[in-house]
Amino acid sequence: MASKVVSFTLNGRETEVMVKPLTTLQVVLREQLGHTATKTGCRQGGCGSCTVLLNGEPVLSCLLPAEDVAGQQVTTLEGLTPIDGLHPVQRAFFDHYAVQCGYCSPGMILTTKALLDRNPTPSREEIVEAISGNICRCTGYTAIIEAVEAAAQALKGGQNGR
Amino acid sequence: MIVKDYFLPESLDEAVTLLAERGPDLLVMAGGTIAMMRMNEGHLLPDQVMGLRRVGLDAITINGKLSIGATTTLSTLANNESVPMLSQAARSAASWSLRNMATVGGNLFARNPYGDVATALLALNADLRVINRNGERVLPLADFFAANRQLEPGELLADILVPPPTGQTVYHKFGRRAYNTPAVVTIAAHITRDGDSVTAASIALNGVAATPVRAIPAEKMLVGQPLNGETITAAAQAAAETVDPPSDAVASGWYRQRMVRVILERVLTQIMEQEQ
Amino acid sequence: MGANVLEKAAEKKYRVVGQSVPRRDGMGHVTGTTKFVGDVHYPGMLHLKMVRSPVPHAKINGIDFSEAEKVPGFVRVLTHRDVPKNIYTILCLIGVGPDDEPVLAVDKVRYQGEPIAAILAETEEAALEAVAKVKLDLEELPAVFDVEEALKPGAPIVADTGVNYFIYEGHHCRRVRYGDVEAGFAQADFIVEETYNTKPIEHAPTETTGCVAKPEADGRVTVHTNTQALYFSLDNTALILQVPFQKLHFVGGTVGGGFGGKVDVITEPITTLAAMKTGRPVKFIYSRAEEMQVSSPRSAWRLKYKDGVMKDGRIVARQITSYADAGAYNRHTPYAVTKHAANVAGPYTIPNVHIDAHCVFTNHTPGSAFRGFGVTMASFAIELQMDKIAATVGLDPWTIRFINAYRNGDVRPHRKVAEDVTFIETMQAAAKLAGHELPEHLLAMNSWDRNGGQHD
Repeated sequence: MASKVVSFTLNGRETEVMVKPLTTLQVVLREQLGHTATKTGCRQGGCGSCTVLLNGEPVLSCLLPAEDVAGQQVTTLEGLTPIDGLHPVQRAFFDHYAVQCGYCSPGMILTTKALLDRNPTPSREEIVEAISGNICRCTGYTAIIEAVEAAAQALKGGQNGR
Repeated sequence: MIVKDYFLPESLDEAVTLLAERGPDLLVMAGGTIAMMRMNEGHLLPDQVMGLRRVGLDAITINGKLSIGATTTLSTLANNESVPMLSQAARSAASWSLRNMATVGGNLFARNPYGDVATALLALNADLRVINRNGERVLPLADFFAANRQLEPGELLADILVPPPTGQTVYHKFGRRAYNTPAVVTIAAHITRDGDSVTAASIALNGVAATPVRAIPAEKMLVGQPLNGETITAAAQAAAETVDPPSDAVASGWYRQRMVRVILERVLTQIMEQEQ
Repeated sequence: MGANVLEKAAEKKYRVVGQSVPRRDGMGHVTGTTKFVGDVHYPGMLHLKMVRSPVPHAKINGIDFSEAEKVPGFVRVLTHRDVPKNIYTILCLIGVGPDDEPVLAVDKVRYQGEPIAAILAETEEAALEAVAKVKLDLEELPAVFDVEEALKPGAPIVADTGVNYFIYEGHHCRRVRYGDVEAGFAQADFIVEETYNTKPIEHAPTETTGCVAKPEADGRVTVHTNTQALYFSLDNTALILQVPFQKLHFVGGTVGGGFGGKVDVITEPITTLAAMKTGRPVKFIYSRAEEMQVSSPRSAWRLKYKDGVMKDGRIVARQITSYADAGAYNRHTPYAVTKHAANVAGPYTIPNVHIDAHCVFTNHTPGSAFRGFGVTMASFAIELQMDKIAATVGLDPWTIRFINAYRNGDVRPHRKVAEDVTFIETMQAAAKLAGHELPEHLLAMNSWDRNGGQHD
């Protein structure tokens, strides 16, 4: 069977792309649309580095056929970054040294965004549970948890990332 | 994988028709968390795949029994409080993002030591509603596991039917980490008591065999007995003695066997101490 | 001294020391714009996947590519015949030899997952499918997985040198001889013996190992790689491909987690060769399964200690026989064992020391660098042994360490004079942080004067 046209909303923009049967959203984003903030860590659903938001919910783009997202809203880290400055979650990660090698950061930041959208004042335990699917092999978890707490504070204070 | 055809049927009818036409070479997947992973590694090289995300089996309804559509995500089940043991089991599985994709039906096919929700369903004596182009049948989950998860050609799992629990339920997943962790052992217990005496016991174990299994000898020892330190220790010991768990990257069989005893003691003690 | 620097820092007398400095690469990381190797794409880029050995030890009788060649998108295959200098060893750059590891297997495979042939295809899917269709005719050989078994007469021979150990200047192990251990044992009140084992550990970086090689119009090849050791990779690739160093342009520095796991030179030579042979950009990035199976782990070690100890806690003799499981090839293990031999007696001053440290070849995945490799496992064993000595003699674990701690000016078993030693001060600070109250006589000790008193 030939490729199909798949239409979905990527970071607020209507996007059409030709996909071969069962191509993953991860491959479409990275190789066809040049959105490389979405990383490739394991392609087994185990590391969380390919996390994107599907209708605001975190999902693993390595296990998601692109055709399955037709008509839906996909957000990648590219879509979170404002025109200038940083989103409060990004700012908190930067300020709190919650990045080391940087490979888990896009997935970690998107998961944090999704968490704070649902639960603006998460406990430490709730943060740990929420990010447990995003593996940081540099083991910078303490700084990451502090960054999530700081981001929650900043968002509560109404900072909008400018 | 060079997949030639990927189908996304919009209804159950369309799905079973495709399955009947295409035969056993059509790989069926729901959330994709098992099949996609294997295809990404090149361990599974199907020509044709059918995804079930759009067939409309993703709802939970209550009509006497709880009916869980096979493609209901684990997140949906985790957020449904109608049977606490099931929401707890769903929440204990994998990570948030994976639970947003993985399905309850798919969890029944997850290989050991995965299958946390399946373990709770087994303890609750769930049935499977299985359909093909010509009709449907109801299959006890225990039989499905005994048959090594084989359905007849042309059959699809449509719903999981759960009778309302009659007694007390406790679910305990024991892993190496607090969250997002495969089971060392998982135990789901459903115990019905009349006064002091246990009238029905259903205990499901995971991590100890190729599929979740019932701890029949332990269940038999408990029925007709009161729950106390002595009966609990004996039942936990019996459960441990009758399993021969596999060793894998998560834990050794040696350790798992000992943890069956320890965790079952805790589970039964928790039930003993609960209000009936 | 050190405290002075920290005091000044606290007073903000420095711009960097003692201050938090924004990460140079932090903005790229939090916006996802940092370019990792996997993010490099070129039009017309080919994908490389390896045909790997399914067994740990075998003779290769034949390989049949006929079905693989029929896969749509298949481009070509590379075997050992295509590699100009197929047998290499990474540390030839610092004089370690002999060359022992093939880029692609020649007539034997020595560990499960060893690369046999490289398949190039238009897509990753086609490359994977073609790999699955290669038929290998292998004759399995007996394999050996235990370091001591490997050294026994009659053991399956892994290495082409005919012996399962790395040869150190004509010797079967790296040796350290200091004083007379037998005399020390004879004098001792207690003999404390124990064997310690460690398992292999995989680094599991979130970004798997890989590179992209692109032929340029000027005849050079640009290689984007996530190596931790850019010039190790460049130099070895040039030597393996027999091309002048300046023909290669290596671009690196962005590593999605390494921890030592990305200092081997495994993906760059074959990928660069593939780009040169096809004239097209080529990408070769490990899958997670490959990263787990074939990237070098921290080696497994076995360490045997025999200590002679006096009633007062002084260690008067230490004999160590240790074995590193190098796996099938050298990689960095011969160097690790040398480093290990210099450290395995521990940060203690012992008058009589005897060390035999072996670099042993088995049919395991080759081990390599990993955060303090060679020394980390020694520290693990040493400190367990110190606790065992403390229990045997009846002293507390702090005291046994203070009594035996090395001081500035002490001669180490490998004849280096200890300098800048602050072991005692470190233990005193650690006890304080842990809320453990040390007795006065331990608090009075220092690293400069064994008989007590204060240094300036």
